[in-house]
Amino acid sequence: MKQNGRDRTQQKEKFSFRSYITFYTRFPIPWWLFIGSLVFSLINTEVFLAISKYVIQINKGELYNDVIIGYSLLTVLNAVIAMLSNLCGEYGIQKVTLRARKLLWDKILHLPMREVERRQPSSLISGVVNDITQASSVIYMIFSTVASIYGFIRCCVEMARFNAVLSAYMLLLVPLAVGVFALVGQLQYHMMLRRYESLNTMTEFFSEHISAAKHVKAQAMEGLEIEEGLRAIDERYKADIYYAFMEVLQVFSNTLYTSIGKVAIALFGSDMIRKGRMPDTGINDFSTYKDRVDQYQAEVLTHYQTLKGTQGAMQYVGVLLDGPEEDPNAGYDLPGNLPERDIVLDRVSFGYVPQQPVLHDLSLTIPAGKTTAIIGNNGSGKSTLLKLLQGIYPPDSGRIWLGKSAVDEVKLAQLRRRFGCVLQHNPLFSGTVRDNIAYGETGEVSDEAVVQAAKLADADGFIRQLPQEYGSDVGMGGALLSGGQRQRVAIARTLLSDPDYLLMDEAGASLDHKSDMTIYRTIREHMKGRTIVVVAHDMRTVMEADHIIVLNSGSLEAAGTHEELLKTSSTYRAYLELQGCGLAGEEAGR
Amino acid sequence: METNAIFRKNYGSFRRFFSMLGKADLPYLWIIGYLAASAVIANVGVSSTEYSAALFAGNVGLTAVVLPYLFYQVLSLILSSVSGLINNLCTARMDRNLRRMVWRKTVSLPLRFYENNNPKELLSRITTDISSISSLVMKVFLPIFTTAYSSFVILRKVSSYDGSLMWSLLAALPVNILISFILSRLQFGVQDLINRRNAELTASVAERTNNLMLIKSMGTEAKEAGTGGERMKASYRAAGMNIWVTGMALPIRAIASVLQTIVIILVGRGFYASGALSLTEWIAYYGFAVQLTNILSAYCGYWTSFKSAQGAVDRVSEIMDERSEDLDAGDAMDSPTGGIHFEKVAFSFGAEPLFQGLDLDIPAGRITAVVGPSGSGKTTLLNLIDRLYPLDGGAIRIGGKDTSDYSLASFRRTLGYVTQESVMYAGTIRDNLLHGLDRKPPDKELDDVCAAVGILEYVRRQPLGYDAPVGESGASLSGGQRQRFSVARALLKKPDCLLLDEATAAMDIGGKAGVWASIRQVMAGKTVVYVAHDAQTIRNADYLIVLRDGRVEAAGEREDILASDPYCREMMENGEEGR
Repeated sequence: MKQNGRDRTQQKEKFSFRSYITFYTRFPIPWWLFIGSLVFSLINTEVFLAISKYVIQINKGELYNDVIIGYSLLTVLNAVIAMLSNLCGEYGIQKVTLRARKLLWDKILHLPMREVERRQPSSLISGVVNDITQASSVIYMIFSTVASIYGFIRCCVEMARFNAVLSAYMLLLVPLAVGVFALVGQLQYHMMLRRYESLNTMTEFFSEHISAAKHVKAQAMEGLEIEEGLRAIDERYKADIYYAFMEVLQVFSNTLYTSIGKVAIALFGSDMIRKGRMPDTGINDFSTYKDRVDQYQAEVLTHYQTLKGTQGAMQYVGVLLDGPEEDPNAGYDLPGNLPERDIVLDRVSFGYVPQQPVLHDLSLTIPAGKTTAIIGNNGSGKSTLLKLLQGIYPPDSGRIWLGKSAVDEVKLAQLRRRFGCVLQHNPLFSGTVRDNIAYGETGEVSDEAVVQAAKLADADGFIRQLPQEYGSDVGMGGALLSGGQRQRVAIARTLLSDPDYLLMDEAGASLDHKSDMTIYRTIREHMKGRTIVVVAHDMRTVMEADHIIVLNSGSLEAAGTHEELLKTSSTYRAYLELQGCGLAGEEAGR
Repeated sequence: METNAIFRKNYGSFRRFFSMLGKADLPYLWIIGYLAASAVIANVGVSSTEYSAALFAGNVGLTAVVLPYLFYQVLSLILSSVSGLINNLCTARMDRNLRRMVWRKTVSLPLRFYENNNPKELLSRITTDISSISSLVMKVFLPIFTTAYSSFVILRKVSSYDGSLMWSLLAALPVNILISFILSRLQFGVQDLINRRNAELTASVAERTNNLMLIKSMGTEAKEAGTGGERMKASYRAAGMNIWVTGMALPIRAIASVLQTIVIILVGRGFYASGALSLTEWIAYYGFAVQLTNILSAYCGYWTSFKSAQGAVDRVSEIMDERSEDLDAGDAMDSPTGGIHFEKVAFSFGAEPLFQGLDLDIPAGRITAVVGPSGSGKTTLLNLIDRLYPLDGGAIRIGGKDTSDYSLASFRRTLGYVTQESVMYAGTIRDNLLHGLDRKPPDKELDDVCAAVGILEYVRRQPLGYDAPVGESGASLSGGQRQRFSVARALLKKPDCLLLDEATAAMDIGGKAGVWASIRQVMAGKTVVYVAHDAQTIRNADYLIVLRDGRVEAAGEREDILASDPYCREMMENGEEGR
């Protein structure tokens, strides 16, 4: 969260006024709604003033029938017009929100992966959910501010018409109003920031510690846990206390302003009445107008405050929309005979952070139609390599070829459809088992195809035992299934898309070794003649591959068949030794 | 029948609510202070209204009206600030005290409770649920008294002008209050719908945004744009309903208030015309009528929030009703020496029995691996040794003594247990290594233990060394690095008995070998029990136990079992036979 904040201040510098304008040129704006809302508001100002005249009369004890009727009718009319104005404005906001939200969502779906990581998913989520609603209210806020300023001026004129001298005194209070307003705005900002931060800190603490409950129990650290929790609670309490004082200060300043107005009217007004410069009930009239003026003034100021508050959201959304995106359909078509093409890396370098290369000048070939295993230590770049193959990240330098097609020049959508990918932990989306298996397909998928894929992934068995079989809900992120079950569904999902190249990154780690081997062999059988790339820590899987690549700190250490590597690579031999595979081989030899 | 059930349910929830508040150590002094301030404000408000009515009527005597008016203005300014402050402080203290209570309770609950509840939901009990409970107290319960008293003060004043005037005012109120109650209820319902739709939207957006890589890899951007659009439309439609309800409420409220005003004026007009009311009194009376309506309608608006807070109350009082673990009952354990012996141990998750009369022996001072297919009960076995769950039957003995005789706290503290999750907290590397340790080891010792698990080089590379932050839940570390730190933390405790649950699973082949060599060295002569599922890790054991469906399939010296047990043989040789 803190990082997020920093991110936003950086964007502040990059932001230009142009983003404001371009944001609103990206989709149709329902202008007629906003203009309608403005017209109704302007009309209502007149109704409002007319009501004031009746209120003054009632307060003077002029309780005639026509006053009562006039007051009643106008009050209802005023509410009806206000309703119309609000309906127009709010519908305008909602329409803009819907359109902008869809636009932003589409943009997020097409963000390059590095951009996603830089901005962090949590901030993107709040962009779609919160920031967009704020950004969408800007036009309406501008129109409302115009209406409020008009009302303010109209009421000032009316007040001055009643008593110019006293109104002039009131004008002297305007600087005070501005000062109070500026102070309140500052306080508001600091209060909210501190509150927000303290809430975040507390939430982070508890979310981290509640999910670590087993660890705490296992070490019997309850005492320490309570103590740290109480400290986190106290931090929030301190922020609340700060908020308590600041909020009161804020309310006090606001009330102080109106009180000074009232006191001034009472002092000067009573003096004027005594000197006969104002009618006896003049304070009544004047206060009524003054109330109206204050009301409009408050409206103007709140609108201004809100408008200012939307600035951050506007910037965030604007910069995001202006930023880079992937076009899945730009580039050349992939040729049809892909399965026959080797994957070739030509001097590829890549790093997530500049100066810390993960892959370093890497050249290698992954032969078509065979199974290739990649091994290496943690951090040697195995998983990164797989992501580069699918075009998830572009290389910093060098090129990746599928036969004669350069990966960076072909249509990304086509490229990624030809690659299937199974990772160590594969997310599922909430929905049914069937939805998840058929996830990658755009058209209708037959039940047979789904069941067939599930059988290949050894998932059909457990799915049949679920209460609603293929129609069972998997829960958020697949939470209702066990790790092994999730993995099988994910494998079925990938197999259903019938890829030409299958990438597997520690895909068997959450399965027990027997199912792992069974599934792995079924997949190899099914994918016969197509290319499989496996990243594995389990040497038994590795030994079965047709081709083996040993990576070391992002560079190629050795490549070849099992037999070749036994001779050429000491790392490979050491790995076999450590897992007892070499030993088992020797024993068998003896 | 049905209404009776609902009534009983509500009654129960009220009772639980008050019994929970009783335990919560509420800031009673502050509450009394708040009530007192509100009472004074109610009286000052009445005087202030009277003097301003006099001003409006044209009584401008400086000492008789203007100065008292000023005095009351200033007084009410100060008093309202003070009462606002007390209100805020009260809420803050109540939040803090309730949170402290819930957190103390939560920490003391057994592991089962955490497994049966979603962590996110537990989190919201401490954060948002508590806030809605304290706002329930401050905005719904206390205002019962303050609103009643202010109404009483106003009505008393009006009745001092004329008794029947007060009664007519009372008679005119209910319509307005009823309407405002119905409208707030309706708005609450729609707001609830909006919140649900937004929550659905957020959940769906979050699920996808956190897994954008999958969407890219499957090429389903267009599909997701479509489904996202549907959710956004649902959210739009809910907002549209809200716009209509809020919009329609404006004229309805206006009509209700106009009707009431007409009644008030018609009644007052007679008194004013007959001279029973002076102009000042008329203005004051009119002002009081408006004030009374405002106070009561505002209260009705708050009352509807009671329903949303009810869920929070139920969830929090549910936690408070759970049974805590008693950590300190029993003998203090000094050192777990001797073998671990399971005697007819029975254990089940809900209705499904896992262990039924399990007998097994884990030898003292040696390294024992527990293997078996997933679901065979390996992790549960470790959890039972560490007494994280109570047994359904049988006993576990260490060195001949029943482990349930020891106090939970002393027992768990002497055993080291590295769980599957490799927990890291936001903080520095040092904080994480020393977490829960009751001594302060010198850096030299930290260096040794980090070198033992192969993480020293990483620590040295950090510009801040041991003081480098690891990020929330260790976010800046890879899975393998987190596991290394977890093992290091366990070794620093120098336990006499160490349990490891797939504690090296995420490490690479070379790393695993190094860490196991260190464990063997550091734990020489002490008991180590670990769960493993790969061939490499199994080779580090002296003794093997094979579990299948909650039964011991085989147990014995490693080499014997590897050679004889079909499960192990298959596991070790699988790679070979496939070739």
